[in-house]
Amino acid sequence: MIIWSIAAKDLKLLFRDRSGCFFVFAFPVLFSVFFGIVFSGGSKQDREIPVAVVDLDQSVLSKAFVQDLLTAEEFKAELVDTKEIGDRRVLSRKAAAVVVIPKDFGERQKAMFSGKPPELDVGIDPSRQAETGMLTGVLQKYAFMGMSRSFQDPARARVQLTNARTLAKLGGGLNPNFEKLLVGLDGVLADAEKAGQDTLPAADLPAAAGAGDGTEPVKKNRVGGMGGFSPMTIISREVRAKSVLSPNAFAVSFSQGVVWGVMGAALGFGTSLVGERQRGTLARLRCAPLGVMQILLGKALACGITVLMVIGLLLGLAKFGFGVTFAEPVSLVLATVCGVVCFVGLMMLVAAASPTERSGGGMAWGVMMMFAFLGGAAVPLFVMPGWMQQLSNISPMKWLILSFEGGIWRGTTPLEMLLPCTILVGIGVVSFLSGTVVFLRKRDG
Amino acid sequence: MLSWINVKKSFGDIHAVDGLSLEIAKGEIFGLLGPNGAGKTTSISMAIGLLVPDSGQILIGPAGAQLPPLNPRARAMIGVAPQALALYDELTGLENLKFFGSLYGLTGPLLAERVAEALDLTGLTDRGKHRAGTYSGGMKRRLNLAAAILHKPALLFLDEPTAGVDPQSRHAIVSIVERLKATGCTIVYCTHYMEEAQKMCARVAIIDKGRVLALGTVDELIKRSGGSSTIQLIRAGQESTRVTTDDPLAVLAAAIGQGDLSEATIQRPDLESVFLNLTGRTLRD
Repeated sequence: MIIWSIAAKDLKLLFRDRSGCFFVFAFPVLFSVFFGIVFSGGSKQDREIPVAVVDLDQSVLSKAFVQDLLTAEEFKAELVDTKEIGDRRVLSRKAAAVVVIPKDFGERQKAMFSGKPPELDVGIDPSRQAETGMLTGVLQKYAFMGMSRSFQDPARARVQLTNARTLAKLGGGLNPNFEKLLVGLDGVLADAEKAGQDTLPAADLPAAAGAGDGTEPVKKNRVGGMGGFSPMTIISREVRAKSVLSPNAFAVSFSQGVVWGVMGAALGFGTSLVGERQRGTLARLRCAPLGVMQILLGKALACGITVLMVIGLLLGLAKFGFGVTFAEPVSLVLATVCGVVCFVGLMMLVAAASPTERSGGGMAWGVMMMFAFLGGAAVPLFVMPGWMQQLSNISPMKWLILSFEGGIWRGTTPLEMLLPCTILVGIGVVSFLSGTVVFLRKRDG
Repeated sequence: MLSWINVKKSFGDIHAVDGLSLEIAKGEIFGLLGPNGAGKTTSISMAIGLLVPDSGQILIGPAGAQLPPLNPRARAMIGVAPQALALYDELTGLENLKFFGSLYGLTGPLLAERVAEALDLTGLTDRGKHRAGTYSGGMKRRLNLAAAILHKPALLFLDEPTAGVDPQSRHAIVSIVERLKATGCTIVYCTHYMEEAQKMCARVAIIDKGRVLALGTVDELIKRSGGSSTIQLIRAGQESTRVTTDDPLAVLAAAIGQGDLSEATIQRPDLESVFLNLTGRTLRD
């Protein structure tokens, strides 16, 4: 009852503080909406992109293409066995995209000018639109490289030429002069084939490409100047959990928005506890027949309720205002509970570490902002250097975002939530206990 | 009702309270006086459980059932109106009182009744629904006092209850304290206003450097440490003369006997004289 009285009083105080309410409730909403719109537009980034590659064709040509991707400087490619594994890599943020090479890749590439060009299935991480936007362009580049290679193999080039002439005849014939040119070209290719001038025997393609012999002629080829022709069709899709019916960028931005909301609540209540100490109201509470732990639990309850409210507000707005569907509701509940525990604990640490309301507020905002940026709450993690991405593991915001992304759109199973949830709860418990110890030590100060 | 028994408390090298021993009886208003830094606030903070003594003992409650201040039952007996206004400016007066009342287990109709009583006693009924932040200094002081008496404490600590208020509010607060005394409440009254202490306190302790310099009724202290009275005598056509004496009535009688006295003023020593005589006239910051 007393704990609830303290919590109710703190909630009243929060709702009467307009600027406090703004930072707890309005700012995260504005942030989520703003970045949702920004993500929807997409942008380009020039960074090494982690990509999972699946070769369902296993043909010589597909292997050559895989080899190109594995050695490409724009990618950090990893070959995986199945599309499902590839999708999983994306969902677990280990890859920005999965490139699936279909079974008929080799056949289609052989008949590039006479049939449909090969299609690539590219599954992308919706939160990494910037990277995957660049990915499409880079894949086209390697497609042109493959095409160029096929023209350096006279035998394969002749097949392409013959197929094209046959199709043209079926369609009503060619201009006689152009027909003459193609016949002449066929003769040149036949002579070259006989003379054994192959720069890259088809059977050796994968190994040669890896060794560098195959890449040299490619460098001479320019992808520009090809007009509207594309040697490969890229069909992209967003990789989300299957239960997400209407994926959109707001699913990503609201996951990040949660961080700002809970951070505002934790900081607000943490500094309010310092303010109570300064104003003397805390001393008055301590004169009453209740334990210090009751006072702290009351404050923690108010903070927890506020965190729940802001999360509820954001998720409700995401669902009903922006059409976001939740991939794994159970995981989302887990993320919410663990987020509450974590940030209530951090609230206590802020309260204990802050000497005064003003300096404490500034200091806490500084530290929290650093963690927020480090954890990817503002700038996505993938644009950071590798060492910073490693360092981001110390940020509770990273784990909060991961857990909410898991519940909202990644479809992370409750079992897979174990790591982020354990970390969040661990941070919360350690922070609360250490904050309480420091707070109690300050009693006699 | 309240005992400090050889209590000591230091902060680093500073001995804030140095062997304080005091006994306060049930139902009395006890004045705790001293210059800034004398150890009053530390002594009270230990009595209300905010600080723990380095040594010695503090006991609260009627004889035979005394408890240390950290005991919740002892705290339930205590009311505190701190010098710093410990209120929530964003809450209304009513909400402040309801909240503080709930901390003492008051709920429902009883809480509402006590809140209404406290507002009435402090003359804040009309402003109960306004935010405390909009109150004047005097109103805040009264609300601060109301929050301390909601649960009808047996022992009330008033730390500078009239600091910085206008004469009307001071008069109102003094009246409230007198009414509380009539209910049998024991009051520890800390103030720098000597006339208030002289008027209200049955007994007074003057402390400095954490020690009791003088303890007794106001009259006893004046007699013991107040010094002599001063009589100003004005005779017709003459300049006034000032006489310092321990027996002003005898001097006055003699002056009247001489026949030409036109005016006489007797300035008796008061608690302020006692205070200054004991603690000195050097500024304390």
